[in-house]
Amino acid sequence: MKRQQPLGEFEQIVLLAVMRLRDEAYGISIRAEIAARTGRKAARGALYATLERLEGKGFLRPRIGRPTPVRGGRAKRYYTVSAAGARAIVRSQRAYRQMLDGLEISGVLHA
Amino acid sequence: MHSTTAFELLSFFTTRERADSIVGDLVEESRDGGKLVYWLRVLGVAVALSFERFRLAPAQCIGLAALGLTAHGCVLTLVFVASGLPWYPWNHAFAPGFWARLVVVVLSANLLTGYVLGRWVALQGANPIAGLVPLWLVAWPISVGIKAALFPGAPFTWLAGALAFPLFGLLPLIAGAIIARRREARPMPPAGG
Repeated sequence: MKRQQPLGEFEQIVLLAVMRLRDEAYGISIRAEIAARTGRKAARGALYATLERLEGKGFLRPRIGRPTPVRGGRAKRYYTVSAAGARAIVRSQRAYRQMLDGLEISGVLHA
Repeated sequence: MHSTTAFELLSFFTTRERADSIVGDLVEESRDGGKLVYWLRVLGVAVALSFERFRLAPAQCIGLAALGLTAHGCVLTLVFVASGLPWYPWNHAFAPGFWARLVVVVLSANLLTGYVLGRWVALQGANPIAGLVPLWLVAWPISVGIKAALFPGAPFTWLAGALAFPLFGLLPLIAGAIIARRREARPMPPAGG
């Protein structure tokens, strides 16, 4: 069985943003959600490249919306997190927690 | 907002379906901004997607870049010979009209290379431009760096090189490929007049 590569930090942030947005996750809303939650203005190019990569890994499922005039007649590409994507994020978070467990950083003990 | 050109550009680096939705996002976001902001965003996304392709399949991209460079070399040689420019340009650098002719040769060669590669893309379904663009984007700062190291006292020389690279190299290449694609996509006229 092929060993799954661990998720990078930005990949995790994107997956979590998609989870939070539920059925309304597309390029603009994902970027806005990341900015609202983390205060980080993600570069558009980095976001679309990450979405493509996560989709390629099977962690995101796309759904095409209806074309709208405000978008020049082009459709939105909505994303939802797949079961494999949810498992990947749980696995990555568990790894972080295990690394932090019992570690004291700047006077804060992580239990 | 020239979304068709942006769509054609982005579809060199991702699927046409994804390119369509990305352009839709950029149009939606750029309603209050100007054309320059819109195009800077389009170019930023194109660069990021081209490097992503390279990251995911480096061997394929290098292969495509090699093919693109070979095509470029052949086209450049043909255009150079056809233009009648001398083979040792530095001896003739002060001849009247030399630089103007050289710019025309380089522009035409890149436009034609893009067109040839664009036609090939339409026939083969692969995309040599996607391999060539990241290679050239890497070569760009390197070439400027070399000029800066060689001519530290002549900033105009390397600043001109910094501007010339994308203007005379990359843009005509991509423009040629887009023209070829548009010609391919044009519907056939009805048979029998």
